[in-house]
Amino acid sequence: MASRLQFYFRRGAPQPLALKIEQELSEIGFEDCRVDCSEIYFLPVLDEKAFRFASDNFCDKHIQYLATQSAVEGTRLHVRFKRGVTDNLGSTAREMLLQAYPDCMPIHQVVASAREFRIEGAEPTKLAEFAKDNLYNPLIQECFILLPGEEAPWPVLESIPPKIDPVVKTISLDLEAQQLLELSNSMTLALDEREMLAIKAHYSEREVRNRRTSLGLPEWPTDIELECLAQTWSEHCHHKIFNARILYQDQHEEFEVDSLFKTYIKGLTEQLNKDYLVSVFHDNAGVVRLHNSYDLVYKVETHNSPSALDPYGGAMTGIVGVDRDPLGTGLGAELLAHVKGYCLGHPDRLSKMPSGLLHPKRIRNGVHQGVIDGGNQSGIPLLRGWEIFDASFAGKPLVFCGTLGRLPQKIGNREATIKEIYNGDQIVMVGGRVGKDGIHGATFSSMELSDDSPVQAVQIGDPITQKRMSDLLRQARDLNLYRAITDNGAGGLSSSIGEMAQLCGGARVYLDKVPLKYAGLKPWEVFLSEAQERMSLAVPPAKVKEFLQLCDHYGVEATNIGEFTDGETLDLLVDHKLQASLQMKFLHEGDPRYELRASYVGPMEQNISLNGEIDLENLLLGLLSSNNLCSREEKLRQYDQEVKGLSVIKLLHGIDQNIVPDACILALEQDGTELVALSESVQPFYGALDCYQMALYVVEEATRRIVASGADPTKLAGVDNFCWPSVVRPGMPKLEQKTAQLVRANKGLFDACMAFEIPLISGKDSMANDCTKVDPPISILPTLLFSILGPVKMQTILGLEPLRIGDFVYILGSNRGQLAASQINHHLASLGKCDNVLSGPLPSVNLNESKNLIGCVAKLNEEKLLHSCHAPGMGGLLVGLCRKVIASGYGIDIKLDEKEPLSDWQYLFGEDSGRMIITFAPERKSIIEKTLSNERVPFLEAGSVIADNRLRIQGNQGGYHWSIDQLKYAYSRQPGEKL
Amino acid sequence: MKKALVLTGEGLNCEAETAHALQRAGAEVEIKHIRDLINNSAELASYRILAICGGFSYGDHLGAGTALALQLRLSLATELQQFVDEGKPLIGICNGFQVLLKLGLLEDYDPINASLTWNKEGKFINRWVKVSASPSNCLWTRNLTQFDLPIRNGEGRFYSMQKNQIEQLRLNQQVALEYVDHNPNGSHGMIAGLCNLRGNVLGLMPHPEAAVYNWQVPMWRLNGLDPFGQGPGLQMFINAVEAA
Repeated sequence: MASRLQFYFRRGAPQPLALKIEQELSEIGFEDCRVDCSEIYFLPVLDEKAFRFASDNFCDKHIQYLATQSAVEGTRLHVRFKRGVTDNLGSTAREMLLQAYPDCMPIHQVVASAREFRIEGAEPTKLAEFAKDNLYNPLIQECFILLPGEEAPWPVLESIPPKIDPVVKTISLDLEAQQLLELSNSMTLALDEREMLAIKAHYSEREVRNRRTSLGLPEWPTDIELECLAQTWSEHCHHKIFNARILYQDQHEEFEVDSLFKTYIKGLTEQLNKDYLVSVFHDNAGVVRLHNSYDLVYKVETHNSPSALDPYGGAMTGIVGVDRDPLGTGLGAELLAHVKGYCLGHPDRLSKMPSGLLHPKRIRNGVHQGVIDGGNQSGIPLLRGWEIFDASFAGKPLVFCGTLGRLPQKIGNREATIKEIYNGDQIVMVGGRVGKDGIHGATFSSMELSDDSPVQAVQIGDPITQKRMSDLLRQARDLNLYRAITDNGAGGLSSSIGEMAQLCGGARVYLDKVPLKYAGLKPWEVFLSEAQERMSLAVPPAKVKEFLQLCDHYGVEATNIGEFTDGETLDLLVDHKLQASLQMKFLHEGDPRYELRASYVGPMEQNISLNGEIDLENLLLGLLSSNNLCSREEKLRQYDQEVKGLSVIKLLHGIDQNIVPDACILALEQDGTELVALSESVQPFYGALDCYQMALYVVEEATRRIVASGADPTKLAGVDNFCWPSVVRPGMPKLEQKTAQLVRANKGLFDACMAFEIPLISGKDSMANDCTKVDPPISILPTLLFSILGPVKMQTILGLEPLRIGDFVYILGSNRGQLAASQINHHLASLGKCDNVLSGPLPSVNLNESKNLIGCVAKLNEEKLLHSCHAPGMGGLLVGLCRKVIASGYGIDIKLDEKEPLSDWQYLFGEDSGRMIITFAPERKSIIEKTLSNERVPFLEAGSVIADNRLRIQGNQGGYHWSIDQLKYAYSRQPGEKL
Repeated sequence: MKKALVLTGEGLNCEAETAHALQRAGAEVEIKHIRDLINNSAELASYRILAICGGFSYGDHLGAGTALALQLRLSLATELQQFVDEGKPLIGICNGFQVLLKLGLLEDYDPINASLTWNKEGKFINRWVKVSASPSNCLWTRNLTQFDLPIRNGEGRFYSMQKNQIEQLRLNQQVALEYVDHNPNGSHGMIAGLCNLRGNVLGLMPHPEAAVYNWQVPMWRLNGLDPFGQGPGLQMFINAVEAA
């Protein structure tokens, strides 16, 4: 008989999970609940020995015990995965049983895991909603509310052999334009009318028809073909907006952009023509040569739509998924570090969310936990992390995940960045099996979030399967067992094989050979599935056997599913019958280009409107504790920041390990001889003003930050990530303005990168960040994340923390008191003291001044004249000074310039770019001042580092001071929490 | 040179830095996948030091270290016991400590009725903590007093439901390492690391291998440390190489 093992915790044993649930229950009014957790394993028929093995070993006997069959007392919530959804716990239990007793169950039997929560003191009727909000995700899990005496139904442990359901349909396109559009919508193809017409026209061509007839294919496309075209042509894969022809106009000028990507991004990098670029724009991630030992591979992705539906699973897939970009770059990089950033709704608003939207607090918790688990379990440290809160992200959170990898310059005698595929090379799929996970992910992420969003668009990550796979791939790479590799991300096999086939001509795939998680997938679903943890490889025929043996030895599933050909088609077969034959040229180049209009009206500068007095001392404390400026320590501490032992300047910096430094620094190898610095900047608040200035700002700030940390400004590389509201969706407001902002952001990116000579090495755009589940729809603020990396030397690492008491404090750069969209405006608005957060001087970046400043600081640092350096950003100068004193625990005493025309608060809270706060030994004064003057960098001889634990400012309207403990206390607030 | 083996695979992930620490301490180090060792189990005898490093073996499913301990017990129990009986240095760090505890390799006559379970707050913690080496036979912690190391774990709380277990361990001088000043995860007896009676086997939650250079120590600039100077974690590995 099949059996069930249920493990309870011993009386008095700690149950942090139960405590957490009790706390959550008390938040909804059930003050005195008692929660007891148990873990359940459903086992298929086993012999006595195997059963005993499971009951002895699947728990921690010191704190748990095996419950008897009659553990049915009390009200219980029983939570488990839906059938077919990856159950990692169940899989490990199964694997252990098979290691102990290799024949104890046949291949198609599984072990299922479940959790039960016995809850005393809460009304059973209220539990359903509570469970859905707190304990499980209905998309992937099921929950049974069990009354005393009731038992959960048995899950299905016997799966029929997972075989493909070979049904292939032909989709007639003999339809009018409107009907074609309806067809596209009903199939979630996300193709517009012109694209559908282009496909119809292609299939109507005589030559195509003749060819299809001769191959025995129907006249109109099969579902596989149409789905594959939709994937390949999706915004997600084909970047249609960035490749569009755009007619731009504003009150000063009018011009046409022939592809934003080619003009501004690729164009910039080509014009800069830096000798350290090894491979840019054509592979999964960019590759740069900034060191002697290894090349660096860097990619940042977004995973917004899945994270809106399932914050935990979506974000975990985001981080584990972006790892496969460096893994699939060149011959395969080794992973070094993660970066992450989130734009979220304010987590403390207690107002009820509109139906279908998750509360920002829940999204925040889920997103963090997903990246924490995904990153930690992959054994990759988090090097950079940031978080921004604004109501516009409540409809769709932005989840940025990035991975830095290293690639040897050569593998054996091959250039590590060169991929080759020859006719006859075998297609081998490695890693997890294929299920319905994430079907339509690529087309879905190119659509706005609505009530019809497909539930299958959520994937479940399994970091351990991927860790095993990446360990294996590194060995296979060094044994020279494959010629090319790429990841299966959005679009699954359709995208990976479609792309790889371009290196050789064509490909032939036997869809019935692809290993499945469960039965019933249709051929098109197999080809499109976004099941995670998979890579596609081109393996020379002579090495297939050795490769498959290696995979088998390390417990990694690998299957030969077809071959690359020198034909010009992508051919898909099911049970030896040809079911799809797509011409490569049409597949990759057949989609009609967008023609867009952009029309821009810029912001007008508005006078600051203040209600009431400014109490500068209290204002700073309030600002420091606001969501966008307070510490994120509670969450950040849960990310592993130093696994691999390479972190030189870690994410949590300062004497209390609670300040995120300007840049973080990582060694490329264990001995610490070569280092790289990573930083970034993102400023969505300026997206409400002018995206040209926003783009200038993020490039300038990121550059300032990385140089403030000691990086060499002549060898930097950038990565751009655009997240935009849709510029094409009919019915959404201000499409031409949004398009114009996109053009302006690109132009700003180009101008700033040109000024600082920073090539772009990879990037990504996410172009449909609207939420139409609510009325009126919520669109995000246009957001551009600029990530930056550059080499740095151990001996010239610089940091924000002042090192010596008695050192001088100088403020470099000029200050215009820019307040529009600043954090102080937002804070004043929250106090009812400011009616318009966009009022005050507008952001205006001076690239020439910044360039001088950055070059000058780098020069001073090269000569080891500086003790500390900080690039103030959000919150302005005063928040920058606070960060410095909190980081080292030393006080700072400064005096503002008596001739300063700006009022104290505007001077101290303005968010101008182009400024640095430096400290240095008094004896360096003359040489530093001389250098600053020579380089035309304005500076203020502001004051000094003091032993007194205070921040003291003598302003022109008064004197202000705070104890460091006061500042630390305000700063210690966590977003959404009470102080 | 003395040969050391660092195990990897199945989700372990600190093999590179653990190998580097041993190498810096003077050993000749090999990193080997658990399955490769299982296939040639007799090879274990040719090494003089063994490290089971940190990571997430089997994703911590079934409880941290449980699945890997099962795998090792099923396939290498005799060889591991022999390694320990010969007095050779064996270290289990973080996930490795969880494995050693579950394998019973820290026990001699008396069973240890304790587990490494979820941190008190129920969260993963990455933090540098102060630890001190307690008087014990442990060869790994010789010459050590008080120093800083990072902890990085979710299930690192040393917890016993047996009343006198902690006293017993202290009496046996098996508490090799304790947290000082601050208990980061609610561990009973402030226990950060345990050794066996003979002192050749050490299991600990903090990561000495991530602290072998000063540049790995937070705020090394502020504290005026030479970045390439010896970090606080290296001495343990030097001790092991000397004793091996």
